[in-house]
Amino acid sequence: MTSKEHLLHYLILFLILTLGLVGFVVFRFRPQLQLLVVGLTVGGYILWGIAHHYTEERLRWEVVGEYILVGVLVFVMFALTLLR
Amino acid sequence: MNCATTLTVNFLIYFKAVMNPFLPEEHRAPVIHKKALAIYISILLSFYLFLNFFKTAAPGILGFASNIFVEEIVEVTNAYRRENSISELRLDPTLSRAAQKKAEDMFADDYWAHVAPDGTKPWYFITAVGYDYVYAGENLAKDFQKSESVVVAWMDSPTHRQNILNDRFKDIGVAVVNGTLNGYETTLVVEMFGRRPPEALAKGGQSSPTQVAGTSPATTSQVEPPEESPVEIPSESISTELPQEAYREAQWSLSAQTRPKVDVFSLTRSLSLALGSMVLGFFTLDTYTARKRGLVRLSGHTVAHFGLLILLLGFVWFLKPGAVL
Repeated sequence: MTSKEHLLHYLILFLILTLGLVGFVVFRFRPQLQLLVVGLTVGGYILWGIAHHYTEERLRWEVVGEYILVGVLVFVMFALTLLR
Repeated sequence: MNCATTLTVNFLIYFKAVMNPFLPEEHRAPVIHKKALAIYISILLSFYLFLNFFKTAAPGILGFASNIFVEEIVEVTNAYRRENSISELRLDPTLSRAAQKKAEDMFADDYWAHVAPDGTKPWYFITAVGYDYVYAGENLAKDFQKSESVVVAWMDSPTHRQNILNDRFKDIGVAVVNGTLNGYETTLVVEMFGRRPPEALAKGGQSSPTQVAGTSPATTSQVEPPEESPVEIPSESISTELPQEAYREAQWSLSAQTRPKVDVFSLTRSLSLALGSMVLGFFTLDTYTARKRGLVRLSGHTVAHFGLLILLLGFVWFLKPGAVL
């Protein structure tokens, strides 16, 4: 993977996280919608991880598992804080 | 070597061991290996289940701390109206009673909605207390800590904002009521807006209840349209001052301070921040160790994990309690 492609991949990740941040701010005081935003951001992050490692030809179940677990951990932490 | 020193040394040895990557498999350090991440998730889920069990077994112990005043809600609401060159609302004791009834009904039937599970609409409470209206609206809020935050949250939502800045409304009724909702001790804020028909004003605002056909609520905040064309009320007939007797008459709901034994928001927020920071710290140490030793890992990109974890910590840090409907 060239450094240009690498940069593009990280820009996409940055975009996913930034969209998550924007959604969080836009839907403040709307816990259900914030949870949806975090869920979508985590989903985007997992897909990004899979796509990134696939194009790097380093995709293994180990790697997919790590992205899923980190994503689920983040989602559960946020969901717990929104507990009503 | 005393006990504390032994414990510290043992902890450091253990910490070094768990932070040490499995060299043969070139995996992450044990504290952020998949098994460890699964354990963290299990701990959080177990805690969630425990809280759910606890709130059912001992309702009212867990809750949301609050310190909300009717007067402040009215003042901040009117401040926003002044900013937008709209006449101030008059605190109406009858409308406040309707708001109080609505809040009590939500606690009694354990629901959080504009329309009760039995289909009762907000307008029922307004007409039931004898407030005859041509326009009416309702904003709801719960779990907030301060009065101003409630109104700011409503202003942040287009439909609630529309109610606050609706120049058709002339009266406001507010109730802040403590109770246990869904197992949590909390404060509900009900803000009702209204405008009496001219004939009701002529009778001193105490006309008999009139049922006005309503539309099905479709949005988060409610505005009841008139059945007939709107009637303009002369502006001089609407007092822009907040009568003190209105506050006194509504004394049952002047303020609400909730001090639950366990503030569930602070508890869950602290836990999430602590665990998130810990995992972030472990990833940092793991990356540092791997770079120092020149290890090539079969793992995801730490930069991506950093990004997501930092975003999560930011979300939780800036998260405010409270929801509007």
